[in-house]
Amino acid sequence: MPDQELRRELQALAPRDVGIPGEWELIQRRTRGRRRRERTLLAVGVLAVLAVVGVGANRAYEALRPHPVVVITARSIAGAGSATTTEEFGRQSYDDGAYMGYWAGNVETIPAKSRHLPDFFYNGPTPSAPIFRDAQGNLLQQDPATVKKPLWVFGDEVRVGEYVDRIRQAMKDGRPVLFYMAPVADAVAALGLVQQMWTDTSPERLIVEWLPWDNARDGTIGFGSWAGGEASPPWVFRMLVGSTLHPARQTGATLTTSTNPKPYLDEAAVRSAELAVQSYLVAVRSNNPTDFAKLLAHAATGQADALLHEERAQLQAAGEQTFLNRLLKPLVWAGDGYLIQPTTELPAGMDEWIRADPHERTAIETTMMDDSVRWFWIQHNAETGAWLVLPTTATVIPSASVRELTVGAPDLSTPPETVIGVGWGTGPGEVSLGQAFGHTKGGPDLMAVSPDGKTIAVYDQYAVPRRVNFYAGGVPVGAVTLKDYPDAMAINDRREVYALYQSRPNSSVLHLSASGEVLQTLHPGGVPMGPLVWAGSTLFCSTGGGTENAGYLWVMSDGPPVPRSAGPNTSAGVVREFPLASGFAALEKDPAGGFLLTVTEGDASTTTAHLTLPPAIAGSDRPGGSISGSAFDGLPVIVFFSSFPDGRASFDEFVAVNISSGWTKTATVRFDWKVPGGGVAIGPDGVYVMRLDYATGMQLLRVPFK
Amino acid sequence: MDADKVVPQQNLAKRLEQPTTPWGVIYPSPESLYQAHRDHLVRTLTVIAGDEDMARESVQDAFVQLCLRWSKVASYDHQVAWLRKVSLNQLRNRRRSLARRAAVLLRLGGENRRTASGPESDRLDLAAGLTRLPERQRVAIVLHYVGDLSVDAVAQAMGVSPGTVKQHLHRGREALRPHLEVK
Repeated sequence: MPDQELRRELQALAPRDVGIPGEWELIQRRTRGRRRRERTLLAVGVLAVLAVVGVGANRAYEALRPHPVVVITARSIAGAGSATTTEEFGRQSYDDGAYMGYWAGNVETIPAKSRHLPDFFYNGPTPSAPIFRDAQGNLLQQDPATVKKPLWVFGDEVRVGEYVDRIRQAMKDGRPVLFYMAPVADAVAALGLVQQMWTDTSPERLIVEWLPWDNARDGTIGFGSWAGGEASPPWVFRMLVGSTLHPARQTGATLTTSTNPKPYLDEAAVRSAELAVQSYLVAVRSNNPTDFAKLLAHAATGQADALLHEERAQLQAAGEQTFLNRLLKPLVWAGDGYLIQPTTELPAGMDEWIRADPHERTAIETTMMDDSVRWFWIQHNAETGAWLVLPTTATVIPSASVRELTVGAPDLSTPPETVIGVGWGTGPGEVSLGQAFGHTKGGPDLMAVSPDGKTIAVYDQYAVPRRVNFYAGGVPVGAVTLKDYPDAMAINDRREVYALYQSRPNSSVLHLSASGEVLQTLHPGGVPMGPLVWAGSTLFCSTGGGTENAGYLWVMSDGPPVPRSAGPNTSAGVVREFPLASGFAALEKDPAGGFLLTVTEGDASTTTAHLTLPPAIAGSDRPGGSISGSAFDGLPVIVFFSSFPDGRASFDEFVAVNISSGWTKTATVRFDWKVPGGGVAIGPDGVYVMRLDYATGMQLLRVPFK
Repeated sequence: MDADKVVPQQNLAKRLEQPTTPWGVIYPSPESLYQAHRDHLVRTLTVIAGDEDMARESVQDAFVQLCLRWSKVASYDHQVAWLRKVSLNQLRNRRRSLARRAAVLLRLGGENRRTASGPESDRLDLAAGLTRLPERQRVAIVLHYVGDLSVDAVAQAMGVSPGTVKQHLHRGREALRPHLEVK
């Protein structure tokens, strides 16, 4: 049969042994390679498509997105003066972008209608062109369009515990939750958070914030509060709006956000690393060698007993406070920077260590209850999944070459001396009592003392026209008109006034004679100017408005600016710099507690002292949260004010450190009563504080240096 | 439709107690398909191509494709038919690529001759006649006579109708008859 023959002959053409040993393994290897290539190509393709679509979508969004939007404008509210009528305040608020109409009716509240919210919140209408600024006039960076509908809970009108479900649902939806006049414990319980912060601020002044973005991202909360008795509906509304848009301030953390998402440790990993630190401290305090050893990375397990012994010795020497953490701040490398900026300088080598393996390594900056700071190096164990501690030297101890200056406890034995007492009014030397809409009733809050201590200048902001009153020997000696409210003021021994307008678009210093004649107006060429500070008999105005950007100092009395070749100390711990007669002083927060003061003569560092503050100051949330300084006799005088949790100074308690006595003697002063408003100034012979009494008038008190 | 009437496949299915469909065996993994069909495919494609290396590479490529797409192919009723078709496509692509390369070599004065293990000398005439067949006739002849596929299965593998396959088989047989008579 031809078919059968053809079949047989054709099949004979086929080779018999066609097997290849190991071919199946080869096929599998080729498959894996192809799969990788296909995934890579797919990813590249998807990215390309997303890029194209993203650009298009962004353009479409820009074209179509409705109000509200953030309008960036160079306009400043500074210099406009405080409003004296409701109409003026309303006009200024709208002009300056402080009108909060966007939020009116756009917030869920518990209860549905609160007596703390102004009428227009419920009645509208909402203006169509909202521009957002905070209470200080700073433009808010948070686009309201990205903020989900906030939930505001008024703790004095409802029982917070009865609304836990709604509160947690709001959290789950990523909405900001604010509690007004609710105890922290109630708010934290309702939120279901494990919080590391505390406050003793009374609920009447408190807003507890839970914000699902910025540094509150891992469930920490923040506090907002204000001083004084002002709690009118417009003011409460303004505070709530500001708190809704701002990240929590007390953590001191600043978040570096990036529009390009980078792979970095997720929150669960960071929480585990934080838990390792907390467990480590607990193991030391409870003297539990078993738990302690489990928390150590492999490299250190052989030293567990010795390390625990060392930590226990430190615990006994330094006290429990040094092993109770108050704030944990993770150091997470996000590819182009750290997710949260550390407060203190990183230990040597830590940056390189983390960046070498950012998915397996992190560090926890730990602020203890005594305000010392410890860094923990945390390593991930890939086998067990645990995050473990790499022990290092515990607390940074100041060098032995640094002078130790221990500031004594605030002294109440030296009563303040009343140098000036004037009543409310418009007569010679008298000052005006006023109240701007939405603000606490008050009087003058800006003053200056001449370098020789003989003349005191007080800016009467509620006078019409506004003026500067001069006092010498306890009596008024004249006044000059100064219409625009300055940010800072200084006078020289000839009673010439220097008024700084720092927050205007073109900052400047106005120089007036004792008779009010404008002698000169100084512009730094577009560079923002810093506060006015006397050093000896010379007035300085540092540029940059802060310590980090101060590239040179301005010598106002002698003409052109004088470059400073050494430049400022820009390390992360610097908190303030003060010009001296022939150099400058840098005050730096010591990670181990207290401050390091470096006095530089010329451009060479000469002397460093370590200042240990008394517990009343050091124990506050931000020791030295407000610091003023000046210089007399060539060395600085520094005043540390204790502070409220939100960083504002309290004049009723402070210490002044006078370094002028050969680095051997320090003085402390303290008031024992509240100062409702008013200003403070440093003179050559003491600290001058303005005391306002609604019934009688203004007093200027001097607390002499010891 | 009796696609595959290969007895060894049915035996294997019975031995492994694999589920079957009216059209063939359903294999649980690419490896089981490889074990059952790889050699048979290589032999068939060797006769079509006249080149064992090319056939082996084509079949290997087809199995790589099978592994990549196993999540889909696993649910097919015609797993073997899919594999056979992909193998033929791979072979056709290789032959076209080789043809283009040969054309270039000829233009450059080179020589394009593969000397891989071919048929024995007494079958050179038949092999020569097979290579002179049009490609579609050759594929139909080989799949039917070497691959032991029914007309319907050949039609499925080639993507043509059974009538076309019958036509290819008839013309191919007529073309090869003189080579059988010579032998």
